[in-house]
Amino acid sequence: MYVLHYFPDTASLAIRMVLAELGVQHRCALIDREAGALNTPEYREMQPLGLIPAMETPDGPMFETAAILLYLADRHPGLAPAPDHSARAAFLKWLFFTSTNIHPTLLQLFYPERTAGADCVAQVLAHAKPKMDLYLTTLDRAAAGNPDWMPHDRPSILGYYIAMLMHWLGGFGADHPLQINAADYPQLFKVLTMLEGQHATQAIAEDEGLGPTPFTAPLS
Amino acid sequence: MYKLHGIADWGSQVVHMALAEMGVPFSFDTVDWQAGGLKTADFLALNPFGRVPVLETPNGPIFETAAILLYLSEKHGKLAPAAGAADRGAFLTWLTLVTNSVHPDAMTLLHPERPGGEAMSEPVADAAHARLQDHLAQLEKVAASGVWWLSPDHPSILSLYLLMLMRWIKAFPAYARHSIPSQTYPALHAMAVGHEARPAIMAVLADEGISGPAFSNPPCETA
Repeated sequence: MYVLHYFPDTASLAIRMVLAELGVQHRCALIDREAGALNTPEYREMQPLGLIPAMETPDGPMFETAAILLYLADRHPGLAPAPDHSARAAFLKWLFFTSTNIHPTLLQLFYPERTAGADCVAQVLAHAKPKMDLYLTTLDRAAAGNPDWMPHDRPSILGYYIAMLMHWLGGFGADHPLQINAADYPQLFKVLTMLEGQHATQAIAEDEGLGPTPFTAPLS
Repeated sequence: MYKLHGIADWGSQVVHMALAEMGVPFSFDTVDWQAGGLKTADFLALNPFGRVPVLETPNGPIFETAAILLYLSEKHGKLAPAAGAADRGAFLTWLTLVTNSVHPDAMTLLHPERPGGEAMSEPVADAAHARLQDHLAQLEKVAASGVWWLSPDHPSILSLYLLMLMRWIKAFPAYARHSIPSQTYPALHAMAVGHEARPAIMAVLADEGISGPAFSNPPCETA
């Protein structure tokens, strides 16, 4: 039995959708952020940095989005190439590329002051935006041909992870300089469109108030 | 047969050590970065971002340090808790934190001009230094708890990865005041000392031109 500690429209979103997609027994525990729940000793015992998400598993608590997704994929086969699959190498490459490059650069776009304080925001954004464009362009090219590591005809953990990040990147607003439109990335767009048709996506999007097209045309 | 594309004392070092500790056959291709070797069409076909390490495998080229390390550990059943082991979840948690937080912050400490330009170097490095201290303190607690994969006598892909980064943080920060000695973290320091005495690791370090302690408090080379 898994217990996912979550807050709507945060990094718990990808894990919530994957748990629903897998259909495995789990419980979602809403974190009372405003009451300071991230700083309680109980939460810090699970997640010493006080970040979302954390997940209780039969093997103890876990955190880090990519780690939890990989753990779930290996315990419940079907959403990622297994260790003996020829696409495992490419799957691990793009999963960790997403975790170490796309996800942190996204955080710089949303929280540029964290890099070096409020005085450096413009410079950080000026460096981060072209990096994000390059990362997405490269991933989009690599995803041509319906690869097993992120297919466009069936759900995958990497597809859900990318979908969550594109949901945020597409939500700045049409006229915002940081806005990224999923339609500019044709391979990713196919993955996002397919995932929007999944019951798991619709159920979680409904619950978290994300609208009917949270990946291809998110609310801004 | 694996082919590791790397550069002595760069980020390929951890893969080099992991291959040596696993005892699997491999060749090492030194990329001549000063002659533009990271930007040739051949190299960009292996890694479109022009970075080392790249490992050529029977399943194609892999980049991303943690991906290469996990792939090797799964193929050879070594240096990591296997899928299904009770400590696999915790191991993946800390491996992911090291690769997406400690590694980039260590790089920022060495190259603080990259996230925001030269004018922002100092505050950028200060912030990375503060985060590194937070994360290393957490990793020290994990090592002190007695898990085998952060211990002196039993290398793992995670212990090797972390020690390479601790070397950078001590020896090569852009500002000498950011140099963090391994002794600050006693369990991690013991891990560094233990690993340095291993023949496979000593051979890799010698091969990469490193003499003296590589991980346990190496001299700071910042002017």
